[in-house]
Amino acid sequence: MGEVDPDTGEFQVLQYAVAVDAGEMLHYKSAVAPLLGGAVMGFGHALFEEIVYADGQIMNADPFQYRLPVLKDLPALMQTSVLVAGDGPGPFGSKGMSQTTIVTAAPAIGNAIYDAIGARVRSLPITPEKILAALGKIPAKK
Amino acid sequence: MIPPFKLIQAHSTSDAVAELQRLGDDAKIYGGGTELLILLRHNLVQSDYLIDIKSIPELGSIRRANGTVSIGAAVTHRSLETDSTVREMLPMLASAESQVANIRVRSQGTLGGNLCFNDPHSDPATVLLVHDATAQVAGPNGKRQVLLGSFLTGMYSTTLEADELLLSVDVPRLPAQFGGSYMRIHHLQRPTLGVAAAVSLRDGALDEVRLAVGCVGPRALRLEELEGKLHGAAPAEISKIIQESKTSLKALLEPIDDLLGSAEYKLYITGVLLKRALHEAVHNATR
Amino acid sequence: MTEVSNTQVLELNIDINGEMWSGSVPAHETLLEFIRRRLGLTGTKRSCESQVCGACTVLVDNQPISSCNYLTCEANGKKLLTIEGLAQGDRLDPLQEAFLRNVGAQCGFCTPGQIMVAKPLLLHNPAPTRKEIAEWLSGNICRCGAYPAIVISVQEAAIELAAHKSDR
Repeated sequence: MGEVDPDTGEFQVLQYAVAVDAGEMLHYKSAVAPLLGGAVMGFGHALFEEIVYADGQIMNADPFQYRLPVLKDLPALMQTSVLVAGDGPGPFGSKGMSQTTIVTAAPAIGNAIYDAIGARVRSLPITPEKILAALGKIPAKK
Repeated sequence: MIPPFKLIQAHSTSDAVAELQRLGDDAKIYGGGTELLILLRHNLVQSDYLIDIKSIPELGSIRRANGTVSIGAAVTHRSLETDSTVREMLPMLASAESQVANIRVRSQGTLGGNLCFNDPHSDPATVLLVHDATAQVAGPNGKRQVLLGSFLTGMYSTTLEADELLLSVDVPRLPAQFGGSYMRIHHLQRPTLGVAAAVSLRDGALDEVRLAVGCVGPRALRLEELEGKLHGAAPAEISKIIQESKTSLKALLEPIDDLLGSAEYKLYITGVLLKRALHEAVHNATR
Repeated sequence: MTEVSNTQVLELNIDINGEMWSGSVPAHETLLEFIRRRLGLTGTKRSCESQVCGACTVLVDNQPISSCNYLTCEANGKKLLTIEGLAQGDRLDPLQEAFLRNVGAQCGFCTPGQIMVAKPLLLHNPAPTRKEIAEWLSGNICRCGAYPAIVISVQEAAIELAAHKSDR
């Protein structure tokens, strides 16, 4: 769940939940850590991170201009649900898991933004500028 | 690796000025070094000598004289964020300072260094302009004062001569009955936009209005024309007046397309924050 | 007016993790280079070298500093604390214990910096809110996204430290 500021285009994730089918967890805290970590990476993918090219040269390969997620970007509430049905091919019925949560962040965030503002942004990262353009408040970038 | 240099300790202003005269282009003033050391490392700047000014007593102090706070050039952002005099007399500045970079940069970087480097994407200057702050400069011919708005000339440039040293910034507190507000938009490491507003009211209408915008153009600027248009206006008219000023704001601010956003985006959010900051300043003035 | 040295080498005395160190260091040597190469203390990491990521965070007189862009000579006469200096013999700092307990480290590269920046927060503000923790720690980047566990670790350490204080 998130919130869009319709005047600045800024989007904040307020609550986030991941559900994962793990088969079996061998160590709970170690298993959950990269599930949430992957979600954080997904936030970066969805909202902040972009390699900018001009004439084949990377323009923003420096920490000042490549935006990584930081603590402030996280909602206070991040929930994890893990299904442990023992039906996986790995040891003790476990399955591959961990940073798989990266993949689902952008669709979830994209849908949340669509739900909030009634317009879709179909290019990543979904920046405040793109949200304002989707709202028709500024011209879209070519 | 930072290329080798010789470090010179200046113990007085005249020391520092004398060294600048003696060494010319071979020397740079060194305070916190948060910008300088990075520039040296990447060979964007070369210098054989660094003149350390942190031992000069008057550069490290925060003093109050009547309604003005005099901030030494070597005072760190962290000091300004936490100092009781600054928080009491210049709360908008304390707030802006608390948002500079991160806690480590604030512990090391100085206000003087920030102003002399004049990176366009920066916080303190925007607030200082609304306070009508003055820069105190020392050179071979003695001391001079210059309004901060004139001191900051453009992107990475100031009126400081090669043999001059910024001593301090004198910041008068806002007059009584004024309300202030500093807001910013921040997406990458450096801020995309900073807006400072200070207003007084008369019979519910805006009386004196001071507005500054930073980070959008080459340097932070006071918006004198818009200030004039807002004088005498009711708070409900703020939105309309800003909307009508968009064209002249664009010409004044000269927003550019860069990695922080397109010019249209920056202009748009400038309008949004001007409105919000003005309303918050009005609210603070009525308390 | 004093020119410190003709050969750019400075004589320094620094309290490092509680022990006095004296020696000669070039003026242009950063504290990070000094810590890792001269002292062999590799807990402090080299990463962005731009004061952005925080992996090189150490404490100088209890102030958090990016050692990558801080000259070693600035620490002359001061107290330097690195991650190696946090534990008291075999007794880990409550922050270290909380990080271990909560899996606050995934790859571990940012972890010394996270702990070293959290330390002065708790010194300065013994009962920080989650928002205050987030503000203070947002200058330390974790690519693995261990932030949720990092916050819990800092919160638990704060409680632990407060409990120690009231024990006295």
